[in-house]
Amino acid sequence: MQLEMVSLRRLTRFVLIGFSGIVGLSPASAGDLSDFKCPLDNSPMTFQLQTGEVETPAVKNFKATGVNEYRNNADAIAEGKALYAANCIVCHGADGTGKMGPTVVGKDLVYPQALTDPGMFSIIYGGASGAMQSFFRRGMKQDQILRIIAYVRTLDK
Amino acid sequence: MKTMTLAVFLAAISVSIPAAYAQQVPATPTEVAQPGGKIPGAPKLALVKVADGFHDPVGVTAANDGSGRIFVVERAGRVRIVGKDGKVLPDPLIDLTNFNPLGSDVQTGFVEQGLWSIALHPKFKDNGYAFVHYASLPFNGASIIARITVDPKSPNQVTPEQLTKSVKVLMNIPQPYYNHYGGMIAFGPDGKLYIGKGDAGWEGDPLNAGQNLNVLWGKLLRIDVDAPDDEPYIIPKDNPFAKADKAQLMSLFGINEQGFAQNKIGSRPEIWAYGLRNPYMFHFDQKSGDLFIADVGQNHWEEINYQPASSKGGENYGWKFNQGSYCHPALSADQKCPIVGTLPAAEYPHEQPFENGSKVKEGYGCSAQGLGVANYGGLTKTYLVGDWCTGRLFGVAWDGSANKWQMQEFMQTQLQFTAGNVDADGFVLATNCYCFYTDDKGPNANPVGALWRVMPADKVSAGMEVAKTKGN
Repeated sequence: MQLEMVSLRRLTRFVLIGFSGIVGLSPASAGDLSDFKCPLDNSPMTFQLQTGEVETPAVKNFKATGVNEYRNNADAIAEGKALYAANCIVCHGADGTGKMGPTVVGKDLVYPQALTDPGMFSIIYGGASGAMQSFFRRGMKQDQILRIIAYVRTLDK
Repeated sequence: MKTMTLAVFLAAISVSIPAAYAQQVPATPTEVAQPGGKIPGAPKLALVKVADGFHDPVGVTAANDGSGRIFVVERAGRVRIVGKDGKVLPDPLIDLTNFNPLGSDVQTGFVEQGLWSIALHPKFKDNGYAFVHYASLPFNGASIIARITVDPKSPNQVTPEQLTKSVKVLMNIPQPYYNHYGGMIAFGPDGKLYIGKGDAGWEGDPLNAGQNLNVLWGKLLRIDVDAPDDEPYIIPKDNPFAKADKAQLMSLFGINEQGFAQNKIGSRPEIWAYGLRNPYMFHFDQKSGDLFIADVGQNHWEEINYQPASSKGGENYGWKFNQGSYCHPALSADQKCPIVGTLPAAEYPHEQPFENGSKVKEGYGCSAQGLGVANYGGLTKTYLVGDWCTGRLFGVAWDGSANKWQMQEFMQTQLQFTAGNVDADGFVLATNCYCFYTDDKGPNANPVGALWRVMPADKVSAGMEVAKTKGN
C-alpha cells in the first residue's frame, strides 16, 4: 500500500512537471514533494490538523501534488496578505526581504527548501529554529499557510 | 630600600608580562572571538531533556543542598521544583501570583517582564534564604529583589502565609520602559549577590544609563545581603565605587588629576561593572571564580564579556558607545570609532551585522542567553551561550595553545533559549520557552517549555530525549 502511494506520487510529480511546462508556471510553483521536510535535519514531516480543522481540497491537492492552487487566486492572495501582516511582517518585513528574521524572497534563502512551496509550507507548519516556531503550534490552519505562501510568492519579483 | 625596589620591579614584571597561557581580556578588536573558531578538546554535545511542562521557563537554579532538586523559574511568578528523579512537583516552591489578595504581584504584560531568577544564599541549606528578582505589578513594573525564607518544615513549598511573614525587600528599582530589565541574580564565589540590570529600555539607551554611574540601570550590581533585618543590604567595602561619592571637604590644590578623577559625585556604590545593555544572564565559573556576562545586543551584535576572578570591578563594557567590538550605531564594518572601556571576549552578529552591508547565513542570532560554564567532557572553562532567535548553542573558551579566545557553534536547535545554570554535578542546564516577542500569548497561555541538560553526545543513552539539531 505504501509502495503504491509512493509510486503514485512519483507519477503525479512527473505529470506535474510536464503540466507546469505547458501552462508556464515557474519551476518553484510545482512543488517538490521531497521538500516536505524539517529544515534542520531533513527528517520527513507529518502534518496534523487543528481540532475542528477540515482539510480543504486545496490542502489535499497540495499534499498530493506539491501544487499550491492559491498561487493565482486573488481572493486567497488577499487573505494571505492579511495573514502575513498579522503573523510574519514583524520579522520578515512588508516586502519580505527580512528585518529581525531572514528574507523570504529571492533565491538566496537561509533554508533553500523554502524556494518550493512544500519546503516553505514545512517551515511555516513546523518551524525552523528559535524564533521561527511552528505555526501549527500557534493554531494556524494548513489552508491559511497555503494562502500566506501564495501571497509571499507575489512579493518575489 | 634596594630590596623594596627590586620587589616592586619584580611585581611590575609579573603584571606587565602575563604568562602566555593565561586568559586575557582582549585588548584590540581583532582579539575578540567570533563564531567559526574551534575550542580544543570540545566534544560533540547533545541537549538532553530533563523535564517538561513549564510555563515560560526563564530561569533555573540548582538547590545545591544535597537534595538534587532543580528550581525552574516560570515567568508568571512561580518557582517549580524538579526532583532528583526528574519529576516535576505539582506545587511550586514559591508562588508570587497568589500571596497578595489583590492578585499576582508580578507584572508580565510584556515578554521581558515577569519573575526572572532565583538565587540561593550560600548557606541556603541552613538558613533557607531564597532571593528572587521580578517585575512588580503593584510598583508599575519596577524591579523587586526580595528575600523569602523557606521553612525547613516545608522545604518544597513556601505557603502564602510563610511568604508574607518572611519576605524582606532588598531593592525596588523603578523601570521607565517595559524592556531591558536584565534579570539574573546570583551569588559570586565571594558570597556577594550580583544583579544583572538592563539599561531600562526602549532602544539606543535613551537615558544614557549604561555610562551613567548615578543610576543602577545598565550595570552589574554587587551587594552584601548579610545585613541586619532592618537594613536592606550592605555595600561591600571593596565595591569599585563604594566611596566615590563620600562626603568630604573640597580640596583644590595638592591633589593630582587621578585623585580628582576618583570623585564620582552621585555615583551608586552598588555598581560592580557598567556599560551594559541587557545582561539577562551571567555566570561564575565554579572552579576559578571567573565571570562571564552575556550582554544582549541591539540590532547587530551580541557580546560575551569575560572578567577574571582577580578583577576589582569597575569595568566599563562600552554600551552605548560600542556593541561588541563595533560602533553604535553599527553602520558598516569599516566604520571607525573609539573603543570605550573593556572589550568582550567574544561576539556574534545578527543576520545583518551592520546597518549597511550584506547578510550572513551562518553563526548569527539575535539575543545571547548565557547558560553556564562547562568543565566536563573535554570542555574547560567554556561558557555556553544559547541564542533566543536561532536556537544556536555557542561555546566561548580561551585556547591556550593558540593564545586567543575561541567561539564555536556546537549545534543549532529549534529551541528558543531563555536561561541556564550549572546543576549540582556541574552539568550546564538550559531552559526554552515558546514566548517570542511576536508570539507571546501570556505566560500561562504559551505552549510549555522544557529543561535541558548539555551533555557530551557519547554520554547519551537509550531512552534519553535529545533535542533535534541541524545536521552538522
